[in-house]
Amino acid sequence: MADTAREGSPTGFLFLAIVVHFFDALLRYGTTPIAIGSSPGSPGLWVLFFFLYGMLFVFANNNPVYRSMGKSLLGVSLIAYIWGPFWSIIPGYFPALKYVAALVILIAPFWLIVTFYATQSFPKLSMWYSLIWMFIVVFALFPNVQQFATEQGHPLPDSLSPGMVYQYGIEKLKDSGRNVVLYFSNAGKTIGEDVQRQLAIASGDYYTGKVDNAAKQKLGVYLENFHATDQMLYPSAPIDAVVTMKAETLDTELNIAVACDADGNVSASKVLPKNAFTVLTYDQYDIDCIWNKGVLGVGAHTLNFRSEFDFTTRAYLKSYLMDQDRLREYRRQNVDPLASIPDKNPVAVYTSGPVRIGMSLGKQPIPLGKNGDALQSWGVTVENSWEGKVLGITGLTLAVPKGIAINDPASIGAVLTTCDAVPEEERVTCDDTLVNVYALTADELQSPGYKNLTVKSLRIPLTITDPTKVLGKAPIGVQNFKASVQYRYLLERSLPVQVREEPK
Amino acid sequence: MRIALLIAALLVLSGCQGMFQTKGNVQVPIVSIGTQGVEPVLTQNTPPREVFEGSSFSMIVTLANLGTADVDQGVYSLSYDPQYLYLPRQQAIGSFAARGKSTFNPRGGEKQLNFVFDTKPLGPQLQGYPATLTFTACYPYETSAPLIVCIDTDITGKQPNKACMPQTQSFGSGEGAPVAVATVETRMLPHEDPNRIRPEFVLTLRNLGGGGLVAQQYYREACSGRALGEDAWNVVSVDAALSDTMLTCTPTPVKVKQTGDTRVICTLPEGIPLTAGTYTSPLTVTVGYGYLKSINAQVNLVKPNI
Repeated sequence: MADTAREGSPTGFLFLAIVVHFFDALLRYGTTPIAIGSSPGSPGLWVLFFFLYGMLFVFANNNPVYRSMGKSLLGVSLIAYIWGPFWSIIPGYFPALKYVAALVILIAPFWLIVTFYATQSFPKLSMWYSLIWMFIVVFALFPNVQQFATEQGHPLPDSLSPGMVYQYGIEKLKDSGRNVVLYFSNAGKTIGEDVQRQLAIASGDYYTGKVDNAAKQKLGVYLENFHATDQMLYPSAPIDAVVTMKAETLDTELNIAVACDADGNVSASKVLPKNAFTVLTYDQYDIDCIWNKGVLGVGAHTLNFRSEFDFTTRAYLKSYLMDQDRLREYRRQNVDPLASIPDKNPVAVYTSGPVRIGMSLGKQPIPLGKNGDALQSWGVTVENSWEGKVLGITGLTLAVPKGIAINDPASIGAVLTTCDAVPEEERVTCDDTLVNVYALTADELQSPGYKNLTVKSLRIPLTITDPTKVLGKAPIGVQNFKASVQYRYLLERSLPVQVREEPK
Repeated sequence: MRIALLIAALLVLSGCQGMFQTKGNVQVPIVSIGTQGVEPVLTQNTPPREVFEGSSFSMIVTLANLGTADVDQGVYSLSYDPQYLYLPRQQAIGSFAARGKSTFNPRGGEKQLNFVFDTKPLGPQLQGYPATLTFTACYPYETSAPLIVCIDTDITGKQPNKACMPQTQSFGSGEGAPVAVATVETRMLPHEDPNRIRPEFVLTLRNLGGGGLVAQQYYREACSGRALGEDAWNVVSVDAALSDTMLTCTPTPVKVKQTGDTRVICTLPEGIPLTAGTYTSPLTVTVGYGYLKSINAQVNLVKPNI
């Protein structure tokens, strides 16, 4: 054992050097919870460091390569090391000396790299370790690390420390980990919704549509940029998270209730400017969720912002209807009766908002039989198209052209009603002489299919009651089938945060 | 004064030389060509491409008779979406009359219809709606094809220096009506009486007008939503007269093919005596039918505050 030490083992020396170097960089100068430097740490740690450096010195003396050049390097390192205890006694009015000291401390650990090259024993390892180390030193000068250090209570020149880079990296890794956990917890819900959607598509019970072509505005409520006002959060200070809420509506006012909580059970102490909004056309608010100091303890928390509002999505499906026999006559002649019509394959059009309505009536033109004949069924799909939740459907009305009726409306939980049943703002467009209006009953809307709705399809059987009312006196009748869904919608944003202990 | 008016009229007419033919020393307009009947045409910018909800707009349709037959009792109907547009219901259907082109009226008659629609509110959140308007005109029409054919009783070809030879005549430009007699093939066939021959004319009919064809008695129903029955579509009546003698045409009624040629054979069963020799004779073919022609327009209803 003594011989080995005398001859000097490069492997043992380098292993020990890396350990010493790692602890040196990590623990120095108050950049870790083990505060050494500006607040000299525990005597035990100092003893440990003296011991480690002593070990290195012994190894260095027994290594022929290191012996020739390493003593001075080790000396530099020791000076940087011993500089620490004197750090706090450098007077504040002598800032230049502080900067010089900080730079010495930052650069001093380069002795290890020089040593590696000097031994020529591990060239690849030396190269990679050197690159990593240089990256760490350069990164320590980056503004975001410096800002992080300042928030930690280590402004310049204290912040010029590789240990700060370690701590910054660890902090970012923790944030990423929390985001990954949040992502996977949300992914379960998203996957469930996708499965429901795919099942509906696979069963053919899924009808498409497109958002109102003329929609130049995004209607509804949008949440953007949910963030904490401070990067470092402490229990001794209020915690403030801000979100930008944009809301836009046409014709009808939009009532929005907002709320904030942490971890699902700690409500925000204040929500500013208010927690209820009424939007008539377009508004944008920066909403502050504030937890008073001490409300959130040290540790990881998830801040949640919730925005609930009532909204209505409306949809229409333009349809061309034709006497069944006449259509057959056209088809036998191989003539397309809609050949010159610009939009001969209309698709359902729904208004902009969180819910999508798809509809289908089959191939157009739709053959219209005689009184009492069945018309092809009307497919309607109501789907949550945003990432929020449909908390509940509060109303679903269906309007079919006069002359057509829903066959056995009770089979889909609907009742025949009048235009009085549609929301007040829609009555102006509803004419009982032109349409038959059906509304789903409250009981039906309480059924599980409408709770936390992801996708729900209805197959609505239709019957013809008076073809002349549908066609008028023209060969082709142009009519609209309309659906309107009223619902309460919840938009949420989550923000993982870490509340830290107060810096000492 | 009269001389001055005549000179002025001649000066005006001389500007349209290409549409005239010369008969002796007098130029007369050629009207019996073309493949159009009554054509519904939208007046430019009506209806407008975009209209605000809660306003009104006009759709002006001109029914121009570009063929040679007169239409006394044509009908029309208009399809529109009653949930978004309002038009008094009685205005959505109606009748019209329009004279055909003639030597004295080479442009043909016109009838202009002005439909004034009110647009209804689009409803909350809906920002636009493309309203489709379909106008259909249905009318009885007639193709009249006056032809000159060669009657040659010498089917063995013994006689030299004949006045004419029976042949196939083609009329690619139509006769001023949507259904055209495209070709006429003249054949001279033996008769059961050896002293006579039986002339036969093979007519080829084509629907070149781009519209629908129905039996003439069904033209009104064609503009309604009702079914007409299989036997009503593409059915025409064909009458042919050799000089003043009516020919017998088969099949009866004639079902015109959607695409391609439809052949009709007209013959004179009693035949012509061999002693009549070889001569030219007028053959008048009259095809009667109902015709329907549609045009479409789209109007985007929008909210004024967008």
